[in-house]
Amino acid sequence: MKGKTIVITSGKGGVGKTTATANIGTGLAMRGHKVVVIDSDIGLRNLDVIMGLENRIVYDLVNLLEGHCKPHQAMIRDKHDYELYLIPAAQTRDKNSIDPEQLRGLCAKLEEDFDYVLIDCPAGIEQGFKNAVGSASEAIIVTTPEVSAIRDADRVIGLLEAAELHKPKLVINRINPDMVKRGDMMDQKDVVSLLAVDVLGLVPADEKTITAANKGVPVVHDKKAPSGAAFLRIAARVDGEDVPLVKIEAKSGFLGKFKGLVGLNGSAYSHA
Amino acid sequence: MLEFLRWLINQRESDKNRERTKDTARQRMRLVLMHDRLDLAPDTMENMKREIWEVVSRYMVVEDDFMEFEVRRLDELMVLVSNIQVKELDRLAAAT
Repeated sequence: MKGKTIVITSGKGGVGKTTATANIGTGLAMRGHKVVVIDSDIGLRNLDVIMGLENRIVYDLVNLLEGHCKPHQAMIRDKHDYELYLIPAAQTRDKNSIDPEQLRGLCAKLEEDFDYVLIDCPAGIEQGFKNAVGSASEAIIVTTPEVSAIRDADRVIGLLEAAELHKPKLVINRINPDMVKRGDMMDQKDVVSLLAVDVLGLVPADEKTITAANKGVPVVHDKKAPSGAAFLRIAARVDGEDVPLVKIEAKSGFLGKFKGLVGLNGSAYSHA
Repeated sequence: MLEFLRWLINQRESDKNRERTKDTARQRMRLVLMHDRLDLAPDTMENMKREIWEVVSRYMVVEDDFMEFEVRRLDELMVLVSNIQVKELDRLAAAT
């Protein structure tokens, strides 16, 4: 088996990198692949909580790279019946405790046993970013339709290019269809014209992402959730399936139109 | 009832005249990203723009204020794209 290593990055923090990693990883596993997700955000471990695996951690990524445990000891199997594993970040160390060469070696070794190795990259463009990016052969950039996130995404695209990671794919997260409709949020076209990269997926702002995180069950398990369905489509595209992009639009039934008219529009989203 | 309808129409009108903040965002980002990509200060940018305009205007009659300047990514390349409106083509022919 020869899998591939994909880094999920953004530059700016808080745009949904970890959520995207958990959901794309889970989505790929749901499609029958053998997947390992690596939390490379040393000192700010979070992927375990999003996946609901925080109670099972014994060894972490730094232990593994330093040779204090075997790979299978640091890999936590997901609660669901999928071939999905997590290598958690160390919580009490810093980013310099990772040797980029060793991380690259680990990923190359994992590629022999897994279809997909996903690396959740820390925010920023310092050492932690370089470690994560240096191990991957493909990159997914997560952004939101906000000026700060877009500016940082553009910086990261430039840095990926310099690191020979060409053609990164973009996930636009937390799109608010009502704001887009009002002209108060940049839409897919606006973002793409600024960043000039291919879009991998569009994810609507969805409360279900937060309730799913509360429960420690990635939202992709909930196919009725707009964001869950969006992440499942993203996983399919990562997997090489040609799934058309679904536009995220505000619901405009009769009632919706009336509410819009009198300015009472709530957040009634159509499917993403 | 008539009052209500009037109020409704007013609501719609004010909605139409409202500033769409995404347009502002897009315009600002276009400039910011250009400066970031080139690593040039806005002043330096302006100077370069003016000098390019001057060179072109030596050879043809060009519009004073119509000049677009943009740095775009084209696959692996970074390209500088400039549009200058040509007013007269006669002098263009004469110069060549």
